[in-house]
Amino acid sequence: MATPKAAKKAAVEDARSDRELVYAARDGDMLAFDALFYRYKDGIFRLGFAITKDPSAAEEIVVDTFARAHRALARLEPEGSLRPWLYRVAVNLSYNRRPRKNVILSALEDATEEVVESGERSPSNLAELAELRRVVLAAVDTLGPKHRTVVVLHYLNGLNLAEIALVVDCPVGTVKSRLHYALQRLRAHLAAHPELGFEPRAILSATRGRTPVPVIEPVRSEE
Amino acid sequence: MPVDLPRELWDASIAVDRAYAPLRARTVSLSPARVRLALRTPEPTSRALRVTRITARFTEIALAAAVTAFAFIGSTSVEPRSSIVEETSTGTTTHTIAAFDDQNFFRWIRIGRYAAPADLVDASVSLVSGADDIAPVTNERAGLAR
Repeated sequence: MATPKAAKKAAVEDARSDRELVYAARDGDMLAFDALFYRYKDGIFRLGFAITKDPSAAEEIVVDTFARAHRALARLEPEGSLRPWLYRVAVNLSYNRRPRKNVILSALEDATEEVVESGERSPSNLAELAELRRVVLAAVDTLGPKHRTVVVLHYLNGLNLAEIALVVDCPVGTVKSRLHYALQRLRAHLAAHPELGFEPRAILSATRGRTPVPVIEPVRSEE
Repeated sequence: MPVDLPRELWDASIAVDRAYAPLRARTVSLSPARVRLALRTPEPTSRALRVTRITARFTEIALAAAVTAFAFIGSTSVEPRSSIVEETSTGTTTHTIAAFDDQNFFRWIRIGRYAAPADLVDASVSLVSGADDIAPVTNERAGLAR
């Protein structure tokens, strides 16, 4: 019998597609279900954490999402990735939980991580970044659920427009429109904080001359 | 370069992207055993279903209470019929048996039965305290007259 560590390693390294794993799990292969779990648990946790702002609630959302997936194995027919289905369930579970009031993702914690990552930045620079991050996340929280979901799925989970459309079950054009609206609102919100020096030039200089990462990828045709 | 995003939104886009950067690296140490444990517990019912069940339960209790009250009050407010019927037309007295419904209906829950009329003793007289110290009451058996 395999040890738990070996079983986890096998599940993590399972190269089968989601569809194959779903069919295998349906036939009682628990290793296949574990592989799905390890494949998507972190993304679902981040999604739940970004919406609820509560790590323990985010963990429960991960567990509940996979519990629902297990109960729905018999009727799941993923054409490609199971991720849109899982994320849709996670988004619904996240919004069904009442989020904590006035809780912002810990800027201090983020700043500490930043110190560990890059030692060459000055403390004042790190403090500015942490403050900017806090304001941005607070601004994201002011968005409505539909717009916030799109922002979180795109910027946090790295989904493209087509994938987001599958998650939120609406056309790609609607997703694009929501993203544009959300960014306009965020820009207006951030412009109200001149002390942060939020200007296009300031932000672009923060990237140190690098070309900004394309935040909206062109929609890939699904084949 | 973002092809679909207007240039004036680049700054906001980059700011959001950077704000989520620490969270993107965050992982969670959860085991699938937690899911298996959750699967052992019954699936939580929806709020609507719970409300429906509670409403149904209250309705059931209210209905039971109403039926009980109706039966109790009905049994205490209706005087039982006498089984002796005077037939004035013939001058004879016949003993009849009440119909089954009158006789047995709800008899099992007649908690507060009608007290038998005090034909022999006048309660107002006999219950007077210190009756030995006063003169005998002349209308002692007045109850018979009623």
